[in-house]
Amino acid sequence: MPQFFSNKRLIVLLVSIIILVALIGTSMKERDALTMPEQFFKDSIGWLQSIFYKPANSVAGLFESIGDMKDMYEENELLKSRLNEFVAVSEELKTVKKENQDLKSELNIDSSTGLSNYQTFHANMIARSPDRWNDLLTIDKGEQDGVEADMAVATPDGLIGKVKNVQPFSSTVQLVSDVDRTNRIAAMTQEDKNVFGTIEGYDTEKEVLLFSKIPVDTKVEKGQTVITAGNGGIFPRGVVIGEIVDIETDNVGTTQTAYVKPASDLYDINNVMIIDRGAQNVNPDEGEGEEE
Amino acid sequence: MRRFFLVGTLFVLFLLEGTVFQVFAPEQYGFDFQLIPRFVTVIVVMVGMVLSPAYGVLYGVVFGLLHDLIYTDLVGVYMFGMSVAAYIIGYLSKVFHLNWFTTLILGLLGVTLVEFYVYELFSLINVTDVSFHSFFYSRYLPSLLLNGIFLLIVYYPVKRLLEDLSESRRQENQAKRRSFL
Repeated sequence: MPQFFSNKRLIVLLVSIIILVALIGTSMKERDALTMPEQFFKDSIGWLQSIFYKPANSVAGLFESIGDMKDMYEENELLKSRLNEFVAVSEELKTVKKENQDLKSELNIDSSTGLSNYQTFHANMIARSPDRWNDLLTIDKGEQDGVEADMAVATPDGLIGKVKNVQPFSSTVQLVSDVDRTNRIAAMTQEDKNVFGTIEGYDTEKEVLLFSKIPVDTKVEKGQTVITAGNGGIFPRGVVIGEIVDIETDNVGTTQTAYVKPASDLYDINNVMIIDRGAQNVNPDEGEGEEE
Repeated sequence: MRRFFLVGTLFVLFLLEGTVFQVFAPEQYGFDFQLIPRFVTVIVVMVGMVLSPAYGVLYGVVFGLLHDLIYTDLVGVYMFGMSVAAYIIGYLSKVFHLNWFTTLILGLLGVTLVEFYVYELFSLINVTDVSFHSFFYSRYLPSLLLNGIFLLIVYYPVKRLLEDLSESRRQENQAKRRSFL
């Protein structure tokens, strides 16, 4: 057996450790945009990934729909009974919306600057980070389609994350479950009184979000729905985050923390909506206005 | 020609890890454990064993860097980890007579090195807050099983490909030496 560490090899090892630390240090910094080669690699490999991902996904979808088939009859009955209810509710919504608009115009509120005004456009997931340490998705819409960094990303069930990096033809989404101290969302519950707080991270073992900074004298209950508050600057108001499953008072005793179970399944993601709050640079025909 | 085949296979496996495998990941169906595919690492470690540690380092650097760029946003983590694992295992393999069993043990040792190194590093810089207990039982052990099965499936074709490669390399070197003399 040759000598395991000659002097030359030891030096090479030490130099590469130094380079490793330097690389991690530079890439950990807050970066506005990726460098050109990084963008190029991500885009071209993203295209290849979509070739693999789409067929696999449709095969998986086929099996799933066979599994769904047996519940179809019962579900259909239930939905039929709910249909009448839906007609009544949608009529009510229409009148309420009309009324709201009239009142707003009377009060001279410009509805386009509201916290809850946003537009969405759709994208498909094409890859996911295979090591579960980084909860990053790649989606098939990029700068050319109007995606910008920090836009909120949701499934029809609720919020899943935000856009982290944008390349010309694809972008990277950071999920809410990613452990990152900058991954914070202004949130609120909306029962009879608005309660504001911040989503400050994710408990990987319990699989819940931590909804903290809630004043200790306000009352929050299990089962309440948590939505984005819209005053954080990134996300619009009214995107569903999840449901409170447990509440704890912090050890200092001035605030309390609620555990929020995300409304959308963070592992079963196919189609996502990118939520554009600014809405200036997107053609209204492309996205559909979301109703609150 | 064979070299391109090896690189191509590694690249396709690299793409499968992030796409097709994610569609069938156990979390989607409500299981508690995680299966982390380390197919590229397994083959890179085998390159280090059968060809030479230096080749293992080369392949480790290239595919580790690719993994860093595409699936994480920290550059250098996998680049360093995969190449060092291939180097260490490549040297260790000289002590053993390589058959399917020792290759399995050494390959899994390589995966273990990468997993533990990445876990410790990411805990250190706060990318993750998973406790060691849950890392070990719900992530490391199931993944070891998955990658072990993968190694056994690809063992014969990959070994043959690598041995052909090293044989043709030896012949090239001899021809070069002869023309030099």
